[in-house]
Amino acid sequence: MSISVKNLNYIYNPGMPGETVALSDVSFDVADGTVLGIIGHTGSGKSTLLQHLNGLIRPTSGEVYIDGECITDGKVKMTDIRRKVGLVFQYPEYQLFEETVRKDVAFGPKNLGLDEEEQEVRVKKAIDLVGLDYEEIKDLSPFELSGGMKRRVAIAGVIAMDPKILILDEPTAGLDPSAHRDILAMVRRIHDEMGIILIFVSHNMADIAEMSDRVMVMSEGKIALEGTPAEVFSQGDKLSAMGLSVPPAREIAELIKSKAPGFVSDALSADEAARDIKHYMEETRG
Amino acid sequence: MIRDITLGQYYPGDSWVHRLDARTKIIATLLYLIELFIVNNFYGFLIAAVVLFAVIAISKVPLKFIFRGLTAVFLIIAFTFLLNLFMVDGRVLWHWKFLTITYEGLSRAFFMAVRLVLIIIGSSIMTLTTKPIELTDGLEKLLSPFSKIGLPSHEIALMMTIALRFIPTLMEETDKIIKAQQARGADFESGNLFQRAKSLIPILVPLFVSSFRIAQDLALAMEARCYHGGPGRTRMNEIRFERGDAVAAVLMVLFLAVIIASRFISL
Ligand SMILES: Nc1ncnc2c1ncn2[C@@H]1O[C@H](COP(=O)(O)OP(=O)(O)OP(=O)(O)O)[C@@H](O)[C@H]1O
Ligand SMILES: [Mg+2]
Repeated sequence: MSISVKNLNYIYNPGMPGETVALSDVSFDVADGTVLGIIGHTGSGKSTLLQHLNGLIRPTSGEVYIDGECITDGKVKMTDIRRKVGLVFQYPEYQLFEETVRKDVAFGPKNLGLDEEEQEVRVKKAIDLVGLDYEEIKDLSPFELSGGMKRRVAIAGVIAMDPKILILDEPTAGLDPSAHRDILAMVRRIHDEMGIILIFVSHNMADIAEMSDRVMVMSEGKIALEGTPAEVFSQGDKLSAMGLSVPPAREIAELIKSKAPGFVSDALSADEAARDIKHYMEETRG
Repeated sequence: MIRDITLGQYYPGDSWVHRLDARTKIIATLLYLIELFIVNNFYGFLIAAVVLFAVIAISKVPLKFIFRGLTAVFLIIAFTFLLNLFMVDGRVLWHWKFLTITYEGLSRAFFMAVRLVLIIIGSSIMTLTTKPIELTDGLEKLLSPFSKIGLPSHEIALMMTIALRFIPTLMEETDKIIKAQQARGADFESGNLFQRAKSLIPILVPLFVSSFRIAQDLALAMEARCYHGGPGRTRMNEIRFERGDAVAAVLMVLFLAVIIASRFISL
């Protein structure tokens, strides 16, 4: 599985009041098994880009290739794309509609034309993967669950389609710290167990640094930076010029650097920062 | 898509028409609609159409924008045109199998179609050039004399404001939900009528849930700002009749006279 995006442009409401250039000349590739983190200021075009990857939006110009197959020329069947590329929107719990959790999660598999038995297997597996107890939850109404659980059920609804590429738009938005951690761990586990490409958008730099193999920074509809977390987060000045920041651990490391000559660190997580501080203290003491 | 519907939408601008008092525009629109029913021949419609397009030209709202939003409505008009064309008895102009077109049918079909088109464009000019807020403020003012006899004019206006304010929000919400369900493989385009109606459930249920959530948030926000109904409320922008409105009023009377006169032009 691979993704290749070439010279993508997208304009909302062309020729009307409220015309917005949301994407301009976006090109990038994603290799199999990669976790790609996307960051960018509000309105930079992240959500618009994600919707191009499973054909929900047709580009104004440019192409998207999934596994070498062009999905933007109007020739492929949409269900084939949706089968391969699962997209979880921001606040996905607002899409729940069925009477029971089981039926809601089965909506995707049913649309793919799977038989009842296969649907059941998929639903069970998906609910397990998002860390919920199938037997306990299957007959509950999705509307009586807690916010964090609703979100898991909604994510399960996409996972049940068994996508080879999973895309999540701000999966942790609006959750409390513990639900936030749970969802991240869950996303990580899904990636590892299903061996898929994972793309996610987040405004939390620590999450991006921790989870991603590669990071893409969007600004005003363009890709401003792209690289490994270490490469991207070493350009703190550029990021803050775009209204973004580096992970808090890195911020602290930079602060110490400016006060303590000789301190070296490119920490992205609290653990790495602690390691470097310890190292520095041992060196200066000895 | 769903966003292409421009019926009832506001087109930002600063033309003479935009600056008119909302009350003037409401009255003018009502009068225009009445006049369309006073008209009894094609000269009258010609005059009414010329006036309408003059107003559009002054308002600087692009014709393309107006027509794009009305495509669906025009389909309905085309349908009524065909119905009238074939259903009216009279002098036969053309006959083929069971289809008959009569002179009366043709003239009636044209009459109705032109009238409907003018009604729709005429009333959309009002919403295109008036902010929803001004429109409802104007309506409240116009209705306020009736509050003495117990008509809740403020509440009616408020309900309209809220409804208009949330049309774009709900459209956005609908768009999002449709996309989210499409991402789960939902298909809204194929199947027979029954299957299609059924495929709306995954959209309607979340939409209802969202509407209630939005309504609840709004109620809470209004209460937090100590909102309490009509009497004694002052407003930030008082609407006022100005010179332009006087000019418009004179033009309206003139136009009414011309339209009434047009009844007596014989074909
Ligand atoms: N349906 C729409 N109609 C018109 N303009 C839109 C629409 N959706 C997004 N836009 C505009 O396109 C631009 C990119 O929006 P997009 O939602 O992709 O940004 P984003 O990076 O996802 O932002 P956020 O972090 O707030 O989610 C913005 O300027 C936005 O106002
Ligand atoms: Mg977004």
